[in-house]
Amino acid sequence: MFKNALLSIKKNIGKTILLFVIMVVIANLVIAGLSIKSATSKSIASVRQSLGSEVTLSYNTQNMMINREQGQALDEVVSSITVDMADQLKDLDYVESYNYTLSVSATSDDIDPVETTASNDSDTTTDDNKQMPDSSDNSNSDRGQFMDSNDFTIIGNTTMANLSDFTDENYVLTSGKLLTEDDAGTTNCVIESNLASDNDLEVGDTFSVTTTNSDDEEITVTLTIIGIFEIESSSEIGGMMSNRQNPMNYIYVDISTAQTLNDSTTDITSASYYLDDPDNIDAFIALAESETDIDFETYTLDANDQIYQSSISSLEDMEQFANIFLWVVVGAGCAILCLILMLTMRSRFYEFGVFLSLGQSKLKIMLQQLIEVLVIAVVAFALSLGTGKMVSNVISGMLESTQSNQSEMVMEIPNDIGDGLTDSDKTSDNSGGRGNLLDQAMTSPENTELDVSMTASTAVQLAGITGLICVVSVLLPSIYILRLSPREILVKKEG
Amino acid sequence: MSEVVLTFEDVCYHYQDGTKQVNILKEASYDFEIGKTYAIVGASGSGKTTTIVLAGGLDSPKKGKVLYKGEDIEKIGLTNYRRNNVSIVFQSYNLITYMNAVQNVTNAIDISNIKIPDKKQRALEILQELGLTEDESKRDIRKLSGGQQQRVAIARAMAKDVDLILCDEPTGNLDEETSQGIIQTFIDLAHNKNKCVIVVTHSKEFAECMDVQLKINQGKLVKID
Repeated sequence: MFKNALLSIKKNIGKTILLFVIMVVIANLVIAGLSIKSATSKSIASVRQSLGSEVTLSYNTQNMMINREQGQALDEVVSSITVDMADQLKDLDYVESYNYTLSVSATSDDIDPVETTASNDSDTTTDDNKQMPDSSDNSNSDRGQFMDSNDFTIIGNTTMANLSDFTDENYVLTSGKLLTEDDAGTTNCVIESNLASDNDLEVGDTFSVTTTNSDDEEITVTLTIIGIFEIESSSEIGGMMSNRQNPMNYIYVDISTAQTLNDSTTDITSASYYLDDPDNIDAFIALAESETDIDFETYTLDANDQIYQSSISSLEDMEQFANIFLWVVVGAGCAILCLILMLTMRSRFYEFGVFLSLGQSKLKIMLQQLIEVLVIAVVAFALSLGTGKMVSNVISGMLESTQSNQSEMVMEIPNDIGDGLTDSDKTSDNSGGRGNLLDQAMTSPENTELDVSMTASTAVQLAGITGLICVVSVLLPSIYILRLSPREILVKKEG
Repeated sequence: MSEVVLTFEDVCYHYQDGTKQVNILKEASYDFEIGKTYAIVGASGSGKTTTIVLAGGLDSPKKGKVLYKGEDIEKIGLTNYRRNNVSIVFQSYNLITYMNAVQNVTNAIDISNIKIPDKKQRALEILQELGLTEDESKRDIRKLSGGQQQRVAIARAMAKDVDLILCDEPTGNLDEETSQGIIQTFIDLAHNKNKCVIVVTHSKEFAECMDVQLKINQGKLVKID
């Protein structure tokens, strides 16, 4: 059977070449479809991964803005996030760790702030979005102040382990250590290296910070430095209105210390939850909505979903296109091969008749046809593994260029989202890192260029699809002929 | 008495021509014996080829039975029967064009699952027995003459080493000299190799060389005395 198939391939060279060329084209198009599909899937997963598995409980700023536009006072629309509220979420499924953040503005008699000048360093960037006053910070000492007399921002955290500025190495620890859960209840702090050097501070030194509560009573806490960090890069240094908005004047403390300075043990600025897998974000949010009594009209669980959705929309379009493209190629490939095999099989009527008259079974006759096509397909497949990458690059390049206008629109949407961020959001960026995620999502290389490299999985899928096309293409015309009796086949041939 | 190799038992066959039913064979019965040559003659459309088709298991009778050594070929299975018990030689040779003569013969051996140690050598021997040289046997089949191609078809039938050989107008496309050679081959097969050879022919001369002449008369197989 195999011997006969090889003989037929060799002797019917014209048909063999025709089938080979068509199969190379089909295989290349299948590879292109599979590669683009696989690349877009990977990119979507990568965007999700780059945005992390962090979900932040914060004010629903969108609703807050609407309420403000309807004439409500800021005090009426802003509600504090409470520890009780945040605690309801920390024990839900999928949560691996969490971090509560409380930002408080403070002054100090012991140390001087790193001064913020109108003209910034050349290596810093100006961000107009950050010139808003701190409208939603729940610190009593901050509220309502436009020109801020407080020089420092005290950022209380449950742990600094997950702060994206540190995990992304925008901020690098140069001496000592970061605050961990072991520092709970202590007055330990971590400060920036410029602040330390300007004030001749080292790890182990102490200094006092002071806040004022709503009764105008001063609260002073003496902090002990356990770590000093250096800012490698930050998008927040430029365009600052006051010293306390300068990350160099951020002082990281345990949440309890911040609560002491804020004169409240119940309120926090935001709560971040780090999930076991980014894929579980939707499930976690659904669980939070069903299992807790948190009012999600007032508060929101933000998983950077808007950024994610806008980032992947063009990728999803491309993935959808790749799916359709693949089905069209498979369908058209089957149709073309069927047609060619039908035409060539008409001329092989007599051959089928002879084989049947000799006692060959119909199944074996079909198998011989299949082997002939598969042998050609295997060679075409092998060649396509080499050329498929080129075709994939060309097609993905064409797709990317047609998607470019749409992508540009996509790039603009998150900037609008960024405009909507309040200053407290930006403060929590430093603790939760959302601003950087925004940048990451926008500049993510996966968003601008698809990696259409051939993978083992693509090769296996190609083999499967090519095999399927071959089987269908052989089966249909073979069945058409072999449903006849040997006599009918021979009579047709004779006719 | 010789062994009966093929029996037609009240065989009926008809086909539809539009709304009209055309009867070809009507309760045709006959016993074909081993070691004899048979010629079936008759006018065109009388049912000669249908007799070969039914005897060869290429189709089934509408009624009645075809028995091979007493067993219904439907029970043997038509494919098995064609593979193991019968060889057919067609007027138009029906050779596989992408195979040479040797490959056509070895292909028949392969299909019939006969255990022969050197199939190629056996094929060459049969072809040489029928007058084809080794060079001709390995030549592109389409480059052989009609007589040579018919000998290849006969060689293919002989290679299966079955007791029953059916031939449909085997000399129809051949010149007289070549035809004589082919006729002699069939006679040798029957008389010296103990085969039953049934030949459908229009040629009176050919028919007269056969041991038994049959004609199809009103759908029945009738011996011509």
